[in-house]
Amino acid sequence: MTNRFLAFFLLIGLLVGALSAQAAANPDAVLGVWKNGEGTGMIQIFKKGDKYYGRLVWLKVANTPEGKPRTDVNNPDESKRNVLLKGLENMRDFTYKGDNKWEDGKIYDPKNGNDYSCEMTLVDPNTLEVRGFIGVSLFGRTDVWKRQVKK
Amino acid sequence: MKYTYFALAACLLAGAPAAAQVTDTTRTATPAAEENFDAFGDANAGTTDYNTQKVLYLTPTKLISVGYEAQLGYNLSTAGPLPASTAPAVETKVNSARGLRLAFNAPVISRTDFIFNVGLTYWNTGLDLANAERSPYFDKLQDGLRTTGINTTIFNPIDNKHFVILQLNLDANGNYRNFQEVQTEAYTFSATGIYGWKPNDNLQWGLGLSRTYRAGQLLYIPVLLYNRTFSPQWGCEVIFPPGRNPPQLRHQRPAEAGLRTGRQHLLPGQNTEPGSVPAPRRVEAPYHLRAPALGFCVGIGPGRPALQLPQRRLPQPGPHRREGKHAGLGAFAVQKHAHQPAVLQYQPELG
Repeated sequence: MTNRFLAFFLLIGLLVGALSAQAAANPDAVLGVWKNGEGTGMIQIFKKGDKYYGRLVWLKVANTPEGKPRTDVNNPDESKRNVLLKGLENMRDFTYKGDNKWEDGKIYDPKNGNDYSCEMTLVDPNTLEVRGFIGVSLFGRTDVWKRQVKK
Repeated sequence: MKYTYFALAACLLAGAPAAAQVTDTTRTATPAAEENFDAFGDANAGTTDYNTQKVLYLTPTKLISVGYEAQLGYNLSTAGPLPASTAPAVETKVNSARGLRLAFNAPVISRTDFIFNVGLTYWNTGLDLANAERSPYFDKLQDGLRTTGINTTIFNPIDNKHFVILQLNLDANGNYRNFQEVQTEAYTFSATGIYGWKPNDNLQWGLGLSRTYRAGQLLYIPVLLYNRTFSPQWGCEVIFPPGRNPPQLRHQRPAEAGLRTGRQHLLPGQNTEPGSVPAPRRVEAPYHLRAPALGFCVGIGPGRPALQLPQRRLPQPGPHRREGKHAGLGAFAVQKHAHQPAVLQYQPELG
């Protein structure tokens, strides 16, 4: 009887340990400034309510050859083609799903004016995998972002 | 006693993660929007940026492609040195040549530092020949010609300026009706490797080597890749020598011109010498004006217009199989070389 009780207590303890490890993942761990895989831009991920968003805060090539700040010239909506790229909110509606994953979001690529479904996975505190896809995740591409800190 | 220790271990396991739940507000807080981000750098030292597999405004890769080709009639003749057991060169008329083209491309792995695509292709051409009894080769062509293939493409960026491309193709070419009829000789394996440079987002070029076939012979030839964007409306995508995916002038309001090259097909059952099998070779050399946004492509070439629905466009190297005797024309003729498979080449007429 005592052995069974201790075995049961052991099992409960292990289960609580596993659940506690899950709860330790921080939904806000994705917040901060990230540089994309090409090194051409930085995106600041922030929180509004329960969802996560991202905006372009730095561009490697900030101006056109004419010296003017770059705008969203490839936007399919002509009325938005004068919007500055710097400060453009191009990621939206991400929801934390646990296990360091943020899903159900959208990402806009100003290079081609296309909108994609998107999910993010925090591989480690300074590495974020951002996968944009069309329809199913199979038809997509993963970009590896690196966390940026003030030097 | 033993179980007491296990129980203590379980308590420690449960307690440790709970003790670790400390929110680091300094790491998760968002910085001010007016921050000078020029002063920011990688949190981890030694990270690498990678270039992408495309230049700006490059023709996108199509995941699924369906096309149908229909060609007007032309004359077909056999010519060249023939085995003594066959009839002299004869001619017939091809009333029509038409067929379905299917292609599927799946990005198996698509990451910043590695891309691995797998593709499947199926090209079928049905030929309607008049007086096919004039030559055993014509009779076999009545079964049509088809190519079934699988290909893989690997793009591996080394850093933000250099990359490596590797493409492998396995094709079965012939007049088979099912895979049980495919002979070993019908399979061709091609490969291309390219080392490239990408100095900026508008230019990408590379040099490499291709394992390919020409006139039944295995060859290793150099390859040039050149992708350049001149403006949002114009650019070029060049693979030289041209393979299945031809050099293209690219226009954003889309009209593309290209030179399409052909494949070599195996016709079983017409052995003329021990160890040899005739293999007709099809070449299509007219330039094609393509307007994919309008839903069709029109082929323009000397004397042989063709209507063709949009095909897959891939800025990827392919096996080199350019063959033919007349510059700017599709050329078909039978050739037989000692100890090599005999080949049938088509010779459409002008006008």
